[in-house]
Amino acid sequence: MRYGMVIDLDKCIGCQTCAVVCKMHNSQPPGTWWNRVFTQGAQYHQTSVGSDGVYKQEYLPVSCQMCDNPACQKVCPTGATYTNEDGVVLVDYDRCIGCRTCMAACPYGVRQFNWKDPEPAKDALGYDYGYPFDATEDPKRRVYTQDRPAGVVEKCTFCAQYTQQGEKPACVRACPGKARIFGDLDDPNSEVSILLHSKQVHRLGEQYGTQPKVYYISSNKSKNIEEVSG
Amino acid sequence: MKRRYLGLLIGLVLCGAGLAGWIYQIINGLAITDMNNLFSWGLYMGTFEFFIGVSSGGMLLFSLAYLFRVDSLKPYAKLGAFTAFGSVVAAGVAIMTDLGQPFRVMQMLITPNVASPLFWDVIVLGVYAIICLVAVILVIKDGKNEQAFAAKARKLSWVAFPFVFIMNAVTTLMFAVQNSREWWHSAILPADSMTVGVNLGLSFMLLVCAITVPANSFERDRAGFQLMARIAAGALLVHFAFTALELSTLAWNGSEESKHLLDLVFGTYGTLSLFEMLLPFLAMLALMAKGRGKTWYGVSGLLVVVGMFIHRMMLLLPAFNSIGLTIPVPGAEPELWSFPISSGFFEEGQDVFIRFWDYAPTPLELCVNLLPFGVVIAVVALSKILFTGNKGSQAAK
Repeated sequence: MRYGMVIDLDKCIGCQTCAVVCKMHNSQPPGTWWNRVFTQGAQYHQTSVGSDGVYKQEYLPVSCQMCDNPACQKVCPTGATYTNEDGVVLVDYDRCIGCRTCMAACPYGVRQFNWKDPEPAKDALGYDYGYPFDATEDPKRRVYTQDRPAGVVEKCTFCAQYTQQGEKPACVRACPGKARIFGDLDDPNSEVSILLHSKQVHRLGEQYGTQPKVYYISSNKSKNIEEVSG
Repeated sequence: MKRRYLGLLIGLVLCGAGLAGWIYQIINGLAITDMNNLFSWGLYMGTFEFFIGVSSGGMLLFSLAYLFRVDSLKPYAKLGAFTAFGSVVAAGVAIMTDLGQPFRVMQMLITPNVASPLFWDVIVLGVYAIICLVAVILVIKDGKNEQAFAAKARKLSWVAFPFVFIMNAVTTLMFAVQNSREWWHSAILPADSMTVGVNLGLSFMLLVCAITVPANSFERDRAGFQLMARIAAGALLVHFAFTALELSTLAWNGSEESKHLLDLVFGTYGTLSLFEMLLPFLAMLALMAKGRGKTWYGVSGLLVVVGMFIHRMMLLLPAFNSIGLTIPVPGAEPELWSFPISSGFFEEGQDVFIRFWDYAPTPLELCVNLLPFGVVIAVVALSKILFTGNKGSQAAK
């Protein structure tokens, strides 16, 4: 079993639903976003980019790339960051010492630090949210908790609290364009494997040798614009 | 009498202020600093790297004096042992203040990840601290019996001398292995760190000796000052050569990422880069001059110390503002587009998603950072009290 994700950039409408449900379901403190969606090349989201009468809007959702050769895991001095038997890179909240070396090592900028106790910050905003029960893995590794400790690093877990129960991550279930496909990369009959073999895909930051398990189906939007404008 | 304890008093006051700040930080989190998810290491990490370099000088002096039997350095070797010990403790304290969960630090030994350069950093630092402690114990126990002391010091120096270089190399290895940070990802970085250890360490020793050694002792042991100055100047020359190689390799690359990095180094942080180069360069020329007084050496040492502190901070400033995930978008301005990072903070009127952070330490961060400086000043002052007696003129003997 090796969980992976395929994101179809032609189906992404940049609505940020995945980012918001990710934040809600995973109880992310204010200012923390495990998942971000931006318009490529634009200063502001959902503004067009281009010149000479040819403009385009291509969106790019980025969260943890669940690398097979994770730079974050290799530098972690305590083994708090580890890859489980499903190929998911996780952080044990009780083992992390908050050195933030993993944040410096990650090329994707997806790791988030709890700079202060999240609870008062949430209380100040007058809301609380998130899946209420801890998710743990053997041996005694706490990989999700609604009550996040201060001074530890966190990031996308592919919704460990849900995948442990056989459900898909929240972002996959919530995407209105069905742009996100989740499954077992080792199963040749899974939807992700079929897509990988039938579509033009790319991964982010290939030059870093991290071998991400998040694949992007390359966008054809630019091509379409060129056809229309031509 | 009062003057004799002034250094110790200053050191302890700084320690107290820093400790109070650290306790406040433990209660309120690292949010009291100016760091965020984009700029995740700042003053504390820079200070850690700085004191690693500083610590090298004392132990280098100690081992050169006894391993290579350089008699002119012997008057300063004992002070060197204390300075090295104080500085390595200061480095440890600095890195502890940077941890989000400092009380879990033993986790590195309970569940170590041996693939992590940081794990080896801790091991090497721990061994080096023990070597420095043994040197200090030797000075305290056998310092007055020069013959017995020299024999034991020589044995210790066999281990201390290589560890000075190993420690400097390993502490920058955690930067050098990170291939997503072009500013760090270079084999020259650990090698250069060894030269910085020599020039910064010995310059710091020149500064300490210039402050603590009385004028009559200086006249008698001038040769030691001159030798320290020449070795520091030589190490500075090698450091400049490494820097030139690094920058020319980066410039030759010509990629958009490299150009952005050079823009940061010479544009955004141009003033810091200027002082990082100019101060040690002037000091290098000054250190090569013959027949100068101890103030001359002290000021030259101070210039190197300030320049190298800026150098350590410059290890971080361009690196964190050069984002790893960049995407070329033809037609966009600029064409190389960096994917924004969520800062970790939600404040009214402030962007949560950022691409650049103009890091400047907060007053509380500066207060916490007094702790490592206080430790060094207190330890050096304590050694002076222990070994000078009331005569003062026997300073480092």
